[in-house]
Amino acid sequence: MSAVSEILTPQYDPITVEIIQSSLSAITDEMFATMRRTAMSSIIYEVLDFGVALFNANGELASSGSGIPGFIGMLEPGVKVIMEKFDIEKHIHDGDIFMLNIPHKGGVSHINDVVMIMPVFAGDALIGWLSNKAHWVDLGGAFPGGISPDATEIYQEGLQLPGVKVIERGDLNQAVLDIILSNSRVPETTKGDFWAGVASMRAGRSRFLALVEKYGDGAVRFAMEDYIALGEKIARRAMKDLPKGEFTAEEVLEDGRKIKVVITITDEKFTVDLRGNPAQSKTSSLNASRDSTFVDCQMIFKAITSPDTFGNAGSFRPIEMLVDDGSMFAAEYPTAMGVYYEIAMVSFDLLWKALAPAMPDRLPAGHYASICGTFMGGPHPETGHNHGIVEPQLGGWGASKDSDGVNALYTGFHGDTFNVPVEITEQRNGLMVDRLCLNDAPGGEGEFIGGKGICLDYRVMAEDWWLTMAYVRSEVGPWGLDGGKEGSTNYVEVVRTDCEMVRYSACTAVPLGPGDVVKVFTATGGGYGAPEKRPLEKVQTDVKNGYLTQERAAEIYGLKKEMTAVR
Amino acid sequence: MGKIRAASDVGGTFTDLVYFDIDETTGEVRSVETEKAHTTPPNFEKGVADAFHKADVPLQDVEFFAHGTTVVINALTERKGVKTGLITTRGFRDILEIARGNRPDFFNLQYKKPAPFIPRYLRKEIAERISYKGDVLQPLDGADIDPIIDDFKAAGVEAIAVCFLHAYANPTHEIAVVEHIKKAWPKVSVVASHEISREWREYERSNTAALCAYVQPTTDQYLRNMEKRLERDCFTGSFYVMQSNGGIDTVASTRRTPISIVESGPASGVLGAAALGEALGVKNIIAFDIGGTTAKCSLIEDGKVAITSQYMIERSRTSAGYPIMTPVVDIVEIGNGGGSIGWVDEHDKLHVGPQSAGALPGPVAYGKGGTEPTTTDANLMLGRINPDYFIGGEIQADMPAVEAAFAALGARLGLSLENAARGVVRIANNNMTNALKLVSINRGHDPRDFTMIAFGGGGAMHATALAAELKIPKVIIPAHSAVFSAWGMLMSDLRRDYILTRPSHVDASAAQSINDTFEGICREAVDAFKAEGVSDDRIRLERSLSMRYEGQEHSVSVPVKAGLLTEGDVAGIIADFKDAYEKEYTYRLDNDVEAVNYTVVAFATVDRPKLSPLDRTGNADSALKGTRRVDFDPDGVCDTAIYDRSKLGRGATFSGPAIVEEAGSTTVVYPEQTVTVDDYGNLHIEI
Amino acid sequence: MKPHHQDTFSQEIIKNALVAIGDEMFEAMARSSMSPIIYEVLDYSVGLTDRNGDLIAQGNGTTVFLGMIDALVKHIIEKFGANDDIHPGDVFISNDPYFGTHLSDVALAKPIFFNDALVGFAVNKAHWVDVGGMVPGSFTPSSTEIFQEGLQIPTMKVIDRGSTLQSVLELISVNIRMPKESIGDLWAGVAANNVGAERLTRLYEKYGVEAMDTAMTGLLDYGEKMIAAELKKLPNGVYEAEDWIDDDGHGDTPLRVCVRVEVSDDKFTVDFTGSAPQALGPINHGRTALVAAVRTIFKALTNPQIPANGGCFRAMEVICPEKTIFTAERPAPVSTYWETMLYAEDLIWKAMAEHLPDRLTAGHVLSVCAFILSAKHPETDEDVILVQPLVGGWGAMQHKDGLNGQFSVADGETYNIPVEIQEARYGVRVKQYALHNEDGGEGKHRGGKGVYLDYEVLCDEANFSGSFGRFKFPPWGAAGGAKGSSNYVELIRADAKGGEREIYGKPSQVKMRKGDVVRCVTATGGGWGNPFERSEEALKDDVQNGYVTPDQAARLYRRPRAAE
Repeated sequence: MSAVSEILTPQYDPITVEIIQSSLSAITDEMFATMRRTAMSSIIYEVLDFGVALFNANGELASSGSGIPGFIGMLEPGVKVIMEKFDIEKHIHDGDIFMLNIPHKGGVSHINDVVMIMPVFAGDALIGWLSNKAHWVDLGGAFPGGISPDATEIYQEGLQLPGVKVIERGDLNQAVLDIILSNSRVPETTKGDFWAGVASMRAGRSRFLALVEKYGDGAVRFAMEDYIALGEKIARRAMKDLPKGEFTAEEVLEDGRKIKVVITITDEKFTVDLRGNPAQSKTSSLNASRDSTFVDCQMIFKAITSPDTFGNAGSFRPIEMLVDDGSMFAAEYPTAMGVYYEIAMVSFDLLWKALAPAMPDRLPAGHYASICGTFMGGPHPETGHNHGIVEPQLGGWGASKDSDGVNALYTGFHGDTFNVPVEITEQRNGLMVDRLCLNDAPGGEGEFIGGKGICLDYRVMAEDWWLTMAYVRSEVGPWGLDGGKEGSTNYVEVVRTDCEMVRYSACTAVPLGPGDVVKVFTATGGGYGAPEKRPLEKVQTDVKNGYLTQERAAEIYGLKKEMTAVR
Repeated sequence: MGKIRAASDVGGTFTDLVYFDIDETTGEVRSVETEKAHTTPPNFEKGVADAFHKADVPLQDVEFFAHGTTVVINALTERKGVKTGLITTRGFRDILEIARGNRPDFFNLQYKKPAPFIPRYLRKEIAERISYKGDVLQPLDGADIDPIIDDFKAAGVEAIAVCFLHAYANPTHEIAVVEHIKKAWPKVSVVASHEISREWREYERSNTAALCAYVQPTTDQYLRNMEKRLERDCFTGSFYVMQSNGGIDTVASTRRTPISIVESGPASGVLGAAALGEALGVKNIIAFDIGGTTAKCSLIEDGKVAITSQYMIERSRTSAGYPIMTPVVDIVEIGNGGGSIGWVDEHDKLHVGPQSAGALPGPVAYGKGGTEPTTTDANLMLGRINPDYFIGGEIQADMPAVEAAFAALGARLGLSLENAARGVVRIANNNMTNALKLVSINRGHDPRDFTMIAFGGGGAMHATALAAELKIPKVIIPAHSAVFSAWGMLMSDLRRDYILTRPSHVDASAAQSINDTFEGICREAVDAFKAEGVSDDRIRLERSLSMRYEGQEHSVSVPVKAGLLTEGDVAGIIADFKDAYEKEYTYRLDNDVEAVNYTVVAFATVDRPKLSPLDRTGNADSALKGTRRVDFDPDGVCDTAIYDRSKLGRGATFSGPAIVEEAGSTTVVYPEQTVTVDDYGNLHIEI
Repeated sequence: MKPHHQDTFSQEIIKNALVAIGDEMFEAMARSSMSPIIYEVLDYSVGLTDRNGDLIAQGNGTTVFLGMIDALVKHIIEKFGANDDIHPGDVFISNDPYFGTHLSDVALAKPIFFNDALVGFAVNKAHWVDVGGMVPGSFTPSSTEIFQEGLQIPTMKVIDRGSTLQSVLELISVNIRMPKESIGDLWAGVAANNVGAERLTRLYEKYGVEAMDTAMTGLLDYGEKMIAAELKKLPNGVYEAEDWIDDDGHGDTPLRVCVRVEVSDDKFTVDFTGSAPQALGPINHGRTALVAAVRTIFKALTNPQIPANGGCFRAMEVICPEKTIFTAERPAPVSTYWETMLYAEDLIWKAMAEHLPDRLTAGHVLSVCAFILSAKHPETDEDVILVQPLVGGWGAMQHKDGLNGQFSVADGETYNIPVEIQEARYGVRVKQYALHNEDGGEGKHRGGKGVYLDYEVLCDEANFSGSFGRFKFPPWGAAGGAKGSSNYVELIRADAKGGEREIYGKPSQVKMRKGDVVRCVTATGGGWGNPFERSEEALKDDVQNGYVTPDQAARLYRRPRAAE
C-alpha cells in the first residue's frame, strides 16, 4: 500500500498527522519498555528511576515515556547541551551516542543520573533526537552509591561525563567505556545498564526510521511540530480557567533557613519567582540545578492545567522561572548535588503549597514531600557479594476537598514507579524485612484525613553494612488545608542489638552489623477541613480498621467509647 | 445423529454453541453446527440449555462438553463476590493496601488508589516466618488461628485467603493453616496463595489469593447450577471448563482455584487459532480477534500459545489496577471494535474508541438512535459492508443517518464525509497496528514469519489491511469465524501450568539441581492427572526455564528438553538464553546468568475429532453475488466483485479487489491480494 | 655514513648515548611542564625500555619510580601487544596504582618504531596536582577505597596512530580539579617521550638494527655484571629487622612490618613475610611499588654510581605474601603509599646498616611528609592547591654527622619549592623555614636536623591534609646513637588561648582560618654511637652554631655530674 494517500486533500492530512503523532508516543513507550526489561539495577527496573524521550531536530521535546514525570522536562536541556557543544555538520553523525551527567551544565539532576543522547538521521538530514536517562548505582567517588549529604563538591560524587561520544557512528569507543567501568564499584551492573540504555535507543531509532520511511520525513517533521504546537494550545487553553493573580508560600527548612516563592498567573504567563532564596550549600550536597528546579515548575503547571494529556515542549511554553544563580535552586559548578532530589521536593512542595488553596480541585493538601532516598549496602550473607538498595520510600498523600488522602504512594515526583517486593529484597540483598505496614502515627486529621505513610523495618544479616539517607519533612509534617491538621514526619531509626536507638533525618555511611534494624518511617499527609466536620461513622470505621486509636478519636473527633462497640 | 462434542461460550448478550456431530465408526466429524441463544443472567445455565434445545441436540448424546464463562471476571468487575478475610505473615497485613505504590496517572496530583478487596479489619496476621530459601525461621502455632476464625465468623466472612511471605519457596505453613481452617470451619471457603501461584512478589500473590477467595463461592454456585441443569437433561459425558491459559480443565480443579478461568473467553479464541494452525500445519500465528468493543491479539510461536502471569484487571492509564498472578494467554487488548466511536476532541483531533456504541444504541446504521459514527458505520460508508446484507440481512442499514453522522464529523475536521469515514478506518487500523506490534516486533518477532488468523465479527474486515501494513504474508479467515472461540474449545486439551520461582546461579555444574527441581514439579503435575484417572499415554509435559543476567529483573524464557539434563545440556540452555536475549535486545553480555522461574506445562490430551473436508466444490464464479463500488483507501475506489462465502467450494480461487460476505462478517480483499479456499472452507489470503 | 659494526668502540658510544637519552627526556619534561611539583620538585621520572619492556635508561626525579617504568610497559605489551594493537603514533596513558604507585602518578608511554618494527618504549610518569576524588590533591589519610582517591585511568590509548582521542582527554580533564595544569603536563609528557623516541630512532638510523640490538642487550648484561661483582663484596649472611608504622589513619594501632634479608655471592633475597595485612587506610601499595623500593635500596647497597637498567636487578628476588600492606590489591586505597614503600626500604637499610657502616647511615626522616594545603589566592581568589614533600634530617654515619634538611630517600633528585615561588603562586605567607633543635639524634655522630616550615593562611578558609609518618616511631639510632625526633604537624590558631597543643601525624582536611599558622615539622635523623663519646670540639661547634643548645649539650651529651 502506498505511503501518503493521494485521496486526502491537504499535503499532510490531519489523519496521517495524527497517526504519526500516536506513533511517536508508541516509540517512546517501546524505548521505555526495552530499558526496563534489560536494566541491571532495581532502581531502574522496579523503581523506574529513568526516562526516555524523543525530540525534533531542534531538540524540542516531542514525546516522552517515563515512570517519573520529573524526568520528562529534564532531558530537553540535555539535548541542547550536545547541540551547543558539537557542530552538527562536522561532529554529529548517524549512529553516535553521547553521554553526560554533570548537573550544573544542563539536562542532569545529579551525577548518578546518566543521560544518553542519540541523533536520528533521515538520509543525511538530522530529523530528531532520542534520549534516555537512568539512575546508575555507582560511578565511584567518595561515597558508595555516589550520593551523600556530606559531599561538598562534584568531584566527590563520582565520574563526570561531559557529553562524550561513547558510541561513534555505531562503533563502541572502548576507551571511554573502560574508564567508566573501572571507576564504578559495580562494573558488571554498570555495563549492563549501559547496554540497556543503548538497546532502548536503538529500538527507538529503528521505529523512528520506519515512520520516516512510511510517511516521508516531511510528514514526520510536520507532525512533530504540530504535536508540540498542540501541546502549547492545550496548555494555553487550560490557563484561561486558572485563577489569576499572585500566589505565595513560605517555609522554614529543618536547618532554619527560610525559603519563599511568588507565583504570578496571567492569561499568558505562569511566572515562578524563586529569587531571594538561600545560597547554595557549601557544606552539603543538598543543592538543585536550575534545570531540575524548572522541572518543578513544569510539573506543578501540568498538574493544574492538563494532567490528563501528554506533555511536550509546547506544554511548558507559558512557564517563566526567575531564580538566582548560585542559590540552592540553581547551584553552580562545582557544587555537590547528590541529594538534589530533596531540594527539588522542597521547591515542588513550596509551589504546590502556594497554589493549593486557590485550586482545591487540582491540588490536595501537602504530601510527605520527601523522596526518602534510602541507601544501604554490604555483603550478602550467603554469597558475600556486595549488594545494596537504592530506594525511595512510599509515603502518605494529603487529603483533598472531597476525599481522604492516598495511603502509601510515591511522591508527586514519581509516577508509575513500583516499590521492591519484600520477597525480592530479602533474596537479592540478604536483608530481612521485619515488617512493611502503614504508619498509624497521629497527624493529618480533618474532615478528610491525610493518607498514611509506611513503617518499613530492614534487619541487617551480615557484617560491614552501611546506611546513608537524607529525608526532609523530618521536623515539620506536611501542611493541612482549610483547617485540616498537619501530618506526621519522615525519619529513620537505627536500633542496635543492644536496643540502643538513634533517630536520623540524614546520615552518611552509618556502620551496621548483624541484628541491627533500620526502621523507616514516612509521613502521614496533611488533612483537609476541620476534624469536627468528619462524619462520626467514618471515624468509627477508621477506629475499627485500626487507622485511628480510640483515644485519638475521642481527642480529635470527640468520638465516645460506646460508639465503637460495634464490630 | 452420532456422538456429539459440544462447546458453549457465554457472552454478554449471546450464548454461543458449537458442536461436532461425530461419526462413531470413523471418528470423523460429519458436520460442524452452530447455534446462538440469549444469555440469561443470573441463571446462565438456562441460556446454555436453551441453545441445546434450539439446536435440538439431546444432551444424552453429548460425550464432551466444554464451557467458557465470564462468571469470574463479572464477579470481580461488578464487585459481586463475598465478604473475604485474609491471613498473612505478622507485620504484613497492609501489603494488600500498600500495593506497589505506583501512580500511572502521573501528572495528576488528585490520583485515587484502587481500594483493596479486603478491608483492614479483615486482614489478620500470624506469627510465622519462612526464608526465601524455604527454611522455616519461625514455626507456625496453630493455636493462633482459632481467634482469627472467631473474628471472621463474627464479621460474617464467607471466604478466606491465606498468603505468607515466601510461600512459593515453601508452602507448608499455608497448607497447615488451610487444613486447620477446613477442620475448624468446614463451611467456609478457603484458598492459599501457593495453590494458585508459586511465583514470588508478595503483593501480587496476596491479591491473587484474595481475589480468588472472593469469587470462589460465587463460581462454585455457578458451576453447581450448571452441573445440576446438565444432569437434569441426562448429560453423562465429561464436563470441562475453559481456562485462561488456553486449555480446558475439570470442574473439580476449577472449583479449587476459580481465578484460573478469569480470562476464559478470550483465551479460547487464541486456542482456536492454535488448533486451526495445527490442523493446517501452520506453526507461527498471530491470532487476531475483533469484537464489538475491543480488538485482541496474541502470538503463537511454533504452535505454542504465549502465556503470561503478569495479568492485570482494571489497569488503565489512570489506575494501577489489580494484578492476578495466574497463567493467562498473553493477549494485548485495545478499545477498538466494530462499535468503537469516532470522535473529535476539543483540539480537533480525531480519535476512535475506546468508548463504544455497545448493543444499544449500537452503530448509527442500526437506526436505534445512535448519532456518533462507529468503525462499522465507516465500513458501510466505504461500501465494504453491504447495507442490504447488514448482519446477515437482519437489519437494513440506515445509510442517510450514517452519512449525516460523517458529514458532521468531517465538518469538525474540514474533511468531506468520505474522508472522515476513511479517517475513522485509518485511525482504527493504526490503533490495531500498534497493538499487533506490541505482540510481535516489540518482542523481537518479525511479522513476516507469521500468518494472521483473524476472527470475531470484525476480524475479516480489517485483517488484510493490517497484514499489508505489517508485511504479514498471509491471512487466514477461518470457517465459522464468528463463533471461533467456542470452536476452539472443541479442539482443546486439558492444560495446567506449573510455575515455580527458584532463583539460582546457573552454570554447567547446576545440572543436578535443575534436574531435581523439574523432577519435583513434573511429578506433582503427573500425579495430579493420574489421580483424576488420566492414563500415562495421554499426559504430555513441556518444560521451560526463565533466565536473566544476574542482577536483572525481567527474564527471557527458553525451552528445556525432556529427560535428565547433562552439564552439556545446561551449557546449551545458557547459550540458547543468550541468543534469545540478543534477539530481543540487540546485545549480549558475558555476565553470569541465573534461573528464576521453572515452568512445566502439563497437558492431558483428549481425542481430537478429525476435521472432514468440505463436500461443497465449485469455483469462485458460482459464488459471485454481483459487484459494487468499494473504497479501498488508500488504494482508491473500484468496482468490486462480491462473493457469497457459503457458496465458495474448496479449491476456489480469486483475487482482489473483492468482498466476501457471510452472515456474521465480511472479508475485505484488497487489489492484488489473492484468495484460496481450503478443504475445510477456510479462506487463505496472500497479501 | 655506513652503519658501523659491533666494534666495542661504537658499542660504548651507543651505550652512553642510550643512557643520555634518559637525561634528555628528563630535561624536556621539566622545561615544558606547568606545575611546580614537576618543574621544581621534579616529582616525576622518565625512562626508556627495549621492545620487551626491560629498562634501558632512566632519568630520575624520584627513585621510587625506579622499576615502575618497565612494569607499566610490560602491562601494555600484555594488554595491547596480544591483539596486535600497538602502532606507530600511539600514546598510552595509565594511572593504575596496582601497576605503579597511586592515582596521582600518571604515566605516558610511547612505542618507538624503526622501519615499522617495534624497537622500544619511551615512558614518563609524573605526579599530577589533582586527579579528582574526595579531597583536593587526591590523597588523604581517610580514604578506604581506591574509588575515593580520584579518577582511575586503566591502561589505555590517549593518542591512537597520531590522532588524539578527544573523548578520553575530555573525560580526564573534567574529572580533575586543575585541568589546565595537568593536561599541560600531559602534553609535556608526550613531548618528553617524543624526544626519547626521536633520539632512539636516530641512533638506529646511525648504527643500524643489529648494532643497536647488541648494544641494548649488552647494556643489560653490563648492568648485571657490574652488580654481580658488587654483590660479591657484600657480607654474606641473613639479616633481619622489624619496625612499626604509626597507624593506618583510621585505627590507632601501629602496624608491624619486618624483613629478612639473605645475601649470598650471587643472590640478594628479601622476604617480607610476617608484615601487616592490607590496611583499611591508604597506606598500602602494590607489589610493583615493593619491587621498586627494594631496587632502590639494592642499588644503594651495591653500586649507586652505574646507571640503573633492567640488568642490574636480575640477582634480586622479592618474596612477600599477597594482600599485605606491601602487596595490596584492588580496591584497597593507596593514595599515601609512599610512607609504606619507604618502610620497605628502611627495613632493609636498618637490617644492614651496622654491617655496611661505610655505606649506610642511621635511620633518616623517612617520611616524605607530603602535605596538601588547599586555599584561595587572596589576590586572584582562584583555588590553589599547594602540594609538596618536605626535607628532613638524615641519619648519622660511622664517621660523620647526618645531613640536615635532605629529601627522603624516596625522592632522590628532587628540590623543594622556593619560598618566593610558594608565596607568589599560592598566596600563603611562609613565616619560618629553619632547622630545628628538638631533642633526638644525639650520638657520637649526630643525626641531621629536621626543619620547621610555618605557613600563615591569608585567605578566609583553607584546608590542610598531610601524611607525616614516623610520628610515633622516630628514626632509629645505630651503634648506641639516640633515636631521632618525630615528624608532625602543629596548628597554631590565631585565636589560640594557649592550653592544649594541636598536633597531628595524619591531618585530614583540617580547617584553617585567616591568620592561623600550620607548622610542618620534620624529623632529625638517628644518631650513630654513644653521645657521650662526641668530641668536645664537635660539641663546641654545635653549640656555637646553635645546632645543639647548651642545655641539650649538658643534658644529652654529657654524663650528669652527679653520677661521678
